[in-house]
Amino acid sequence: MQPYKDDIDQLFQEGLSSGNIPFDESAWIKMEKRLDAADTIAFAYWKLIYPLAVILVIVLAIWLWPGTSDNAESAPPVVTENIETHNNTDANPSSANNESSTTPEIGAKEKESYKQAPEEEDNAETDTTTLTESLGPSKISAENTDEPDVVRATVSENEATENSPSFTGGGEEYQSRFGGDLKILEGLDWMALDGYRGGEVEMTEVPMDTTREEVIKKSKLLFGLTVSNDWSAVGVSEFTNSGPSIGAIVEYLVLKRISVLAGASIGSRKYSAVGEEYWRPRWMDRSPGNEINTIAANCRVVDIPVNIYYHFAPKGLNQFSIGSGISSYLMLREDYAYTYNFADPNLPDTWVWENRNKHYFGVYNLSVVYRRQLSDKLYLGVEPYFKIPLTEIGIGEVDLYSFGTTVSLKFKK
Amino acid sequence: MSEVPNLDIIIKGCSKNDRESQKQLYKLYYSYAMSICLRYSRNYDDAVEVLNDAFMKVFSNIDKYDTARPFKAWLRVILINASIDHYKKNLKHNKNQELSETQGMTSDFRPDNEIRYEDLMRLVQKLSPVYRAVFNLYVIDGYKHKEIAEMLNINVSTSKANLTKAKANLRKMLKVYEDAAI
Repeated sequence: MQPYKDDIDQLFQEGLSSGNIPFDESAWIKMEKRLDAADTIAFAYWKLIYPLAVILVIVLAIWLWPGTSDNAESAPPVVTENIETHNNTDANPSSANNESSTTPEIGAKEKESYKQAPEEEDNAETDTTTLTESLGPSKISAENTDEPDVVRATVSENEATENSPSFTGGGEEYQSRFGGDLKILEGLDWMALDGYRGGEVEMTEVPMDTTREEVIKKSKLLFGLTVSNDWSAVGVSEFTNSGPSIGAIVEYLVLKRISVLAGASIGSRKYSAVGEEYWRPRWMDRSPGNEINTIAANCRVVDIPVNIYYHFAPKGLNQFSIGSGISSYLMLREDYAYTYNFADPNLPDTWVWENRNKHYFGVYNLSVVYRRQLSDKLYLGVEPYFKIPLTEIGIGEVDLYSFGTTVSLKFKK
Repeated sequence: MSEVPNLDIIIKGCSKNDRESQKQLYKLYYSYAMSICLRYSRNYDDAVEVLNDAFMKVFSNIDKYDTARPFKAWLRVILINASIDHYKKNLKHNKNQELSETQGMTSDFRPDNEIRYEDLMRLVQKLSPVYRAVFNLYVIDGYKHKEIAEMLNINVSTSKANLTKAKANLRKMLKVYEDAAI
């Protein structure tokens, strides 16, 4: 007998390379059964996520759009101010009473009454117009009068100086300010803290019941859904591939102009890198003189941002903000495809890592936000962003920069 | 050019989920693939399971395969990954499985003048799962301890220690084999 070789490595390397295993039909039958079973469930349900997200956003938009019945029914209590104004042709100063009443009503009804009032009072010397405003941080401030159920409204415009006379409910003055075109002031409460059409608004000390206070408190919290398209690259050039992501966010207004946002999104980061930018795998030792040429990466990432935003004064329904914060990346899956300077069958062409890397607070976020208020509950946001790595990302340990745009739909509860 | 003349056609068929093409590919690489799976598995049945796991990945990701590159290398990575996945899946079971590597050696082996492929394979399969995985990855497939540590979720030092123990056990088994042959 020939004694076994002392070098275990060589013995097994050589000995195990000579195997010739005959094909086993039963193994294929098992395989075929699995393939048949997979065909029935081959539909990639995860691919429905993006269409479903879009549908959800559309449904929410329709549901929360102003004027829908649900929206009207769920509207907060409103203050109704019945302001007697002079008809342009039948002015009667004596009838300009500075009276307004506080009545919890449904907003839609009030709008109806606003539109119908001038016709109903056509023959009267004065027109009674109903001015409706939503509660919350509103455009019109109210102050108590001697009568317990009557409040006076104070409105100031953007153009007005600090010393501008305030509107006190008088018909003429109100008309002069708004050119005779009385407006129904919608609730721009969360965003338009500075007031209607940019005017300065402050709530004076009005005794508010619990319901009103709750309305104001709730309006500071927003929930949202986001859809992004992210371009990533190692370094600040070569942004050639993009990947979508979807997410959910919560935003809270901590100060008048400052809010904090937290959330999570899942999506892909696709990028390419050259060998020098990428961690050198140890398997390259198997192919002396050879190096990785390029890497194509497709990483499924959960992005958990915590951002702070500064909100500039709104212009009408529009508002700009700037944001900054930190993101954590959880790398769910990292797919890498390699090309080498020289082809070598001993080197892998692809590599997959799952749940290997977690980069807590590893990415710095910068963004600019344009936000438009669609209704008193609904906000549409467009947020171009730039992400700067604070740590090396992924198994490739690359400096992964990203930019893109997030479209968000936020709504108040 | 492909390593097998009609491989491109077979792969195209696989990408269309053509069962006959899938069988051709499976059959074509069965021996090569099984030789890898057997090394990482305890027995033939486990190896078939790993093999089919790997081929499921091959068939479901066949569109990602670049036909300009060697298919064998791509398949090999998938096979090793599938073997490691199988090892991890059975990790709890493996921990409770204390093998006595020398058990049954004298009756299993039919020594002759040359240590045969089947005998070497059986020796490797007798190793405990973690020793077997480390031995295969390091000695046969050429991975480094850092890579092995990452793949198996163990420390580099553990990987090195396991390799030493695996080799020691193999030597012990080979000694038994040699004694039986005399």
